[in-house]
Amino acid sequence: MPIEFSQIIIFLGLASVVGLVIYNFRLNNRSSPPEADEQKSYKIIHDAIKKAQAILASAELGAIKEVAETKMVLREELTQAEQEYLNYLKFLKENADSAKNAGDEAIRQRVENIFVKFEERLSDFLAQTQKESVEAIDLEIKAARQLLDTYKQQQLKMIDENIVAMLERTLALVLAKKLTLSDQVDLIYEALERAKAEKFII
Amino acid sequence: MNILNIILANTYTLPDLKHRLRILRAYLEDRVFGNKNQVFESQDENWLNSLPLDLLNQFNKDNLTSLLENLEQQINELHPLVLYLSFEPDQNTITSISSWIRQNLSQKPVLEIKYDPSLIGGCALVKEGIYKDYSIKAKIEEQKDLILQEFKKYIT
Repeated sequence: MPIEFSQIIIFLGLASVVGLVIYNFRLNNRSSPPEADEQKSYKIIHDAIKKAQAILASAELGAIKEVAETKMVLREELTQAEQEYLNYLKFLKENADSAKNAGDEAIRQRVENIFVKFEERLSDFLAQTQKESVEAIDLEIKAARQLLDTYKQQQLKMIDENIVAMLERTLALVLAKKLTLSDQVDLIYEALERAKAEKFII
Repeated sequence: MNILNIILANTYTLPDLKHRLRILRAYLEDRVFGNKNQVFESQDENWLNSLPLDLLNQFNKDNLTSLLENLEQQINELHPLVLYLSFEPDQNTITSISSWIRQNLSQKPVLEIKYDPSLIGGCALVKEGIYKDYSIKAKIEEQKDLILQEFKKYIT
């Protein structure tokens, strides 16, 4: 249990009071001693007082010394504690900084990874989309080309099928107005000649 | 005396032949039975008047019907040459065509004229059920591939 400075002062104070009481008691209760005894008593008391004062001084000194030592110890311990606290704070700070840096680095790395993956996926997606778009467009173009070819073939087929009819109709409309009766009869004679040549009619 | 050959001398088509048989029947009935009921058109009257007297004198009350029936049967047994033309010919044109046929062919068929404007020009013939097309339309069909080639030069 650490000695408190106030307790020492109180103890010294009580010791002084006791000494003074004893002094007063002896002073009051003394009978008419002879001068030598009185002088002896005074000397004893004086010595006691001196010793008490010396003890008191010693005690005070001891107390002061104790207090000083205690203060020094406390100061040293405080300084040590403060240093340890500072070291601990420094340690905590370093740890925190390290953890923060590690965390920042991890976050940065993660974000970087996310962005890299995002870029890769976006690039893949765009490439895939482009490929699908190109394929779809190619299919549309192919279908349109096929449709055009089919239409062209159909039109040519219609022309093939109808050109003779168109020509016949055109000639019928034109020649009916252009051919004279004599021309018609000549054509009939020509037809009959061919029939005769083929021996269809004899 | 072959009555049909005499009639066919200036009768070219089957409808005309049947028509002349009808007017001959009417005329002979009047002549043989002494009636004067029939009135004929001028061209029919002209034809009747062109018939030789010998031919008309063959008919009497007894054989009129049989001879006419026989004549009708001969006419029904004829195989006319069907002529499809792209126009409706008048009598002169029919006469010209028939004259050409009789001059140029050994057989002298009676004609049956039909109208088919799609032929454009020339004619198509049907003989004993066989159809042959000698018209301009047939010529176009024959040259179809060549015509298409020529047309395609302008399209492609």
